Amino acid sequence: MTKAEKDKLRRHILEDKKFRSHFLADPAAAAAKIGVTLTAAEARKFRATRATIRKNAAAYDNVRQHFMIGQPIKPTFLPLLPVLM
Amino acid sequence: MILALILGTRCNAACGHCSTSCGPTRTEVMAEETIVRLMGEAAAASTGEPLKFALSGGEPFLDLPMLLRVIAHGHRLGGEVTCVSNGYWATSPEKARSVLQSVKGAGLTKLGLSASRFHQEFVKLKRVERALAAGREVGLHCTVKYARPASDPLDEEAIRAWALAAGANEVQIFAVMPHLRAGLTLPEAEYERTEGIPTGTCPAAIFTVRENGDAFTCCTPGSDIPFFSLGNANEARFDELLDRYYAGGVQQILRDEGPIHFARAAAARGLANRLRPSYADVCDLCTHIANDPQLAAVAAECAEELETRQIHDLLAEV
Repeated sequence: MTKAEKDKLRRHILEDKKFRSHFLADPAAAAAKIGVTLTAAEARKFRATRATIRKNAAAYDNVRQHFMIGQPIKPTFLPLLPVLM
Repeated sequence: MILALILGTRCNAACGHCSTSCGPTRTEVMAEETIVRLMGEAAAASTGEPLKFALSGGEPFLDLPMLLRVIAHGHRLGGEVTCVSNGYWATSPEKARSVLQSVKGAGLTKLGLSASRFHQEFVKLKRVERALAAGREVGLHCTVKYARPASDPLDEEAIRAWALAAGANEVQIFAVMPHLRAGLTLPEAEYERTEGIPTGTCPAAIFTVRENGDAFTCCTPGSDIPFFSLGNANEARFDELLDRYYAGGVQQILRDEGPIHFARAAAARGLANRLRPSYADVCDLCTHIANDPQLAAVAAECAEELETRQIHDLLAEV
C-alpha cells in the first residue's frame, strides 16, 4: 500500500461506517472495492489481528457462558458519583 | 459458540413482561430451511469450541414435529440443544412424560421452563410442576426460569424451594426489566434495583437470531434494537455477522470493560442525569443505555472510536 492508498483507506474508514464494517470483516475485498490493493502480507496482518480479537472473544464467551449464562448476576454496585467523575 | 434461535412469535400465552410481544395472534416463524442453514453455519464456524443451540420463541412446543426435527439436526451436528417452554403441554402426567421422552429422544439436553406471575395468567403452575416431575422421570435436565417483580408473593428462597421440590435441577430467578409487552408498563416499585452503577463485563453475550433473520448480540429483554444489531442472517454472510458479534466495537467494549465504559463516557459529555440512580444488574444498565437515544449515541461513538483506532493502529504498522 502506498501512502496515498493508506490515506484513501483512512478516509473511507472514517467517513463510511458500512465500509468500515466490511473492511473489518474482509479487508482485502473491501479495499479492492475502493481501488486499493493490499499485498498478501498486509492482508495477512489484518486478518491475523482480527482473528486474535475473535479468538479472545470466543474464549471469553466460553468461560462466561459456561458459568453464568442465564444466571442472575450479582454485580458490585459503585456509588454513582465516584464512578462517573 | 452459542447460537440462540427465536423460532417464532406464536405463543399460547401473552405475558405482560414479554419484551417481544409474543402471543396467540402472532404468526411469524423462522423457516425450517433457515434454521437448518444457520445451525450448519454455526457448527462450521465452531471448530473446536463447544457448540450449543438455544431454542426459544414464542412457544417452540406449539409445532412439536418441527421442533423434534430441529433438535435432532442440532444433535447430529454435535451441539448441545436446549429449549425454553412454558410447559402448557403438560396437561397430564402421561402427556408430559410422552412429550419429554420425544424431545429427549431427539437429542434435547436441557429444558428451560418459564414460570412466573406473568406466565401463571395463561399456564397453570400445576402444568409446570407436571413437566418438572416428568423431566425427573425421563432424566431430562430441567431449569426453572422465573422472572420476579418486586411485589411477587414468593421471595427468591421460596421460589427456589418450590422449583427444586417439584423436580427442577436448576433455578434461575431474574429481575423483571422495564422492557415489557408493547404498550404495557409497571410501576417503578416493581423493579428490583440496587443503588449505584453495576460494574462488570457482559455476562452472557449470545449470538441471537430472530424469526425474521435479524441477528443480535444478546437475548436480554430490550436488546432487539439497532444498537445491538449484527445485521440480518437472510441477507448478510454468516461470517460477517459473526465477525461483528465477536469483534464489533460495542461488543469489544462490553466484553472488555462492560457498559460502565459507556456510562462514564456519557457522564464526561454531561449526560450523567440520564442514567438512573439504581439498576438491577449489568444487563439492566446496558439495555438502559442502549434504549436511551442520547446515551446510545454516546455509546455508538465510543464503539466507532475503538474500531477506527484499531484500524489506524494497523495501518500504521503495515
